[in-house]
Amino acid sequence: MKEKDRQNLFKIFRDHGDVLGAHGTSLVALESFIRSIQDVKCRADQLQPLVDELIQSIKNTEPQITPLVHLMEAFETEMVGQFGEDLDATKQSIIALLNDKLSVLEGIGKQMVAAGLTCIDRYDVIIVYSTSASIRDTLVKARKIGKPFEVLILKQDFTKTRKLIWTASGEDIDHEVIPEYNLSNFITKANKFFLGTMSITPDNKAVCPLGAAEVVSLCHLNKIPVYLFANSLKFSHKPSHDHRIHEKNECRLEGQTSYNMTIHSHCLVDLAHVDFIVREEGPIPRADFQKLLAC
Amino acid sequence: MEGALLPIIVFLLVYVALTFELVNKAVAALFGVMVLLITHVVDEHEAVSFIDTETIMLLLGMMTIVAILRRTGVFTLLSVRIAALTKGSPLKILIFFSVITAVLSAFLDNVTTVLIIIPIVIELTTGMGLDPKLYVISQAVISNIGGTATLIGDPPNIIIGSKVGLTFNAFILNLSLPVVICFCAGLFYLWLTNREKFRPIDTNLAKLFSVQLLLEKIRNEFLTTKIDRTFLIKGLACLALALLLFVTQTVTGMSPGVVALTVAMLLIIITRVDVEDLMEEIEWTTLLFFSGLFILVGVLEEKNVLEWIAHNVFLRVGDNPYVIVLMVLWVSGIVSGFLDNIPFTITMIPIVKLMLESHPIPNDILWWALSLGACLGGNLTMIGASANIVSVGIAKRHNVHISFLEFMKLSVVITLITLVIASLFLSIYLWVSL
Repeated sequence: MKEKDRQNLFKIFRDHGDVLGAHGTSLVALESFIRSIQDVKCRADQLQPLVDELIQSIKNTEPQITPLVHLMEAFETEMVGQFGEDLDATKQSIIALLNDKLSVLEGIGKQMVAAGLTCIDRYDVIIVYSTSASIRDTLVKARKIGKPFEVLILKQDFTKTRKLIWTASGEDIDHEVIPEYNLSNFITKANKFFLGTMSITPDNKAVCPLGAAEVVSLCHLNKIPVYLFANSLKFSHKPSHDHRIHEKNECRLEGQTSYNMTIHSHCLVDLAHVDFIVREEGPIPRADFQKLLAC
Repeated sequence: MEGALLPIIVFLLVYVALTFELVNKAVAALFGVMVLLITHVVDEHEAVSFIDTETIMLLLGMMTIVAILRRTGVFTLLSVRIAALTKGSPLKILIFFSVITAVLSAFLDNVTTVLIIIPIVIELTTGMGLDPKLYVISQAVISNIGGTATLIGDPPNIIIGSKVGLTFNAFILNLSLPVVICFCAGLFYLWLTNREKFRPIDTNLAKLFSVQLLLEKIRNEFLTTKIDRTFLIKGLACLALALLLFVTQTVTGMSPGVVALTVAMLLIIITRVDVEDLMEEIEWTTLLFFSGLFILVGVLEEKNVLEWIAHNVFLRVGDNPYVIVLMVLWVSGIVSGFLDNIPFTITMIPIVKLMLESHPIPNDILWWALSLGACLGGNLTMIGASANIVSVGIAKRHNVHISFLEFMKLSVVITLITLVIASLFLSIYLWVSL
């Protein structure tokens, strides 16, 4: 794969991450993988190198999408011995393996919603920042079962927040949209903060959407419990500096002023500021984090 | 031509101001009108009588219908579906998007079409690592070709149809064949000269994967309007009604302007859109520009200036109908490439009428020559048509910079090919008619 094509692919992954979160991006990536296997035209002996090349690209995105990396590692192990002389049969077995991964991911999604529901109490006012599918689905489910609560949506750039606003409006969830820089004026109103993440690293960090670290700090300072939604696939073996957070330096022109600006794709949140990690089995309090990371 | 000097000078100054974009086009035209009113060359009642209300009604009606239909998000939805159908094949991107651009341009205005299509094309091609310039230029050119096919597709056709009384059906019957041939020839030329860039990607798994991810991203990014089914059905039903009434014009006796404005009002009532908001989307400067130009040209006509031009310039070529038809086509084509084709068409209509009085040419062939020349000629340069300027502008906002020469490198040959096809078509049509 040419470097230019790799960079294009990474950018598409980042754009998806901004809109769908890590879980949603992983789902889209698996579905795309299946469709591209169906469409590819090659000889049977050419398929394996093509699949290997693609897996390596997916595993090395900037930043890494940890759930997808774990699924690709499992897929790599399982596909050994699947490549034969019959192209169609090989394609079918690869697609079956990918469909298994898709089912695993969907199953985890459902478990996360069940776990998330235990974190919402009656009359909660919850700050929501990221576009995490688990958080979105949890809020929808809570509304459907009739729990009374309110959501404060922190607006980032519209592309990132749009889906959350749509969901809240479409599902009739009591909500208010406020700019993220205006949170301090609402902080006394809220009593919980729900946040999604791309990965949790062994050095006690979480790779989160840009700006989340500031919101977490403000919540921590005001003793508002921070709930970090991170399913078991989001736990990474690699330390935070290996997660390849993308850095971009761009020249901007606003009005008559031209300036260079450096921007990162994600930020690191210190787990010391997080009160609960919400996993498939339920919310884990901070006291048990070390046990969790050791696993 | 007594008292014609001042109107001529004012008209030429307005043309210079328009060509070099010295002031807003509506201001230029209306300032010219004001000079003629202040100097008593024409009084206000007479000036207003020169405005072709049929054209203004048709434009206002179609602008309103299109503004409401855009809010339904249906055209963006259509474009996103088309993007998915291409599966990232560069050749399919060119062909499928060109077809949708041509069809939309024929029934909406060209600028609306490129505003919908170009951002999606840029997102798709850039994400795939293709050169978006080729696709942007091709869609601009195709929108001008597609718009030539119908009465409502391009402003010169709206003006010709309204002022001359040609029907919607007449445009489709007479122009659709040459337009389809021009469309195919244009695409063939684009493919022939850029074959390397249209190589299939279906042997490259990583590229196929990128395309699938990209298509999902495009769905997320562009389908920002939630489709309101009732609103959509009302909008499409009214568009269908308008087209039905255009087609049955000879039966109902309703002119296109009356049809467009009636359907527009009906659509406003049944969709209950905020009229104040809607009015902000109407291009009032264009309508004022048209009104001012009608007055300026009306004065020139009254002072017999256009008659003089017709006799001393256009009819000097002799009375061979082939020469007259081809001259109108090529002069319109070349002039429209460098000047705005709207004032040119408004100026040419009285001239063509005078030419027809001296040399009757059957089956309105001279009008089709004017239409084909003015619409297809807009492709000659980047400034020849509004759709070109808007497309290049959208590309620039996406960091795709297209220079004047880059645009012309592709567009000049396509314009020449399409004008040659139009010449052949008109010659054969004339030969059959005589």
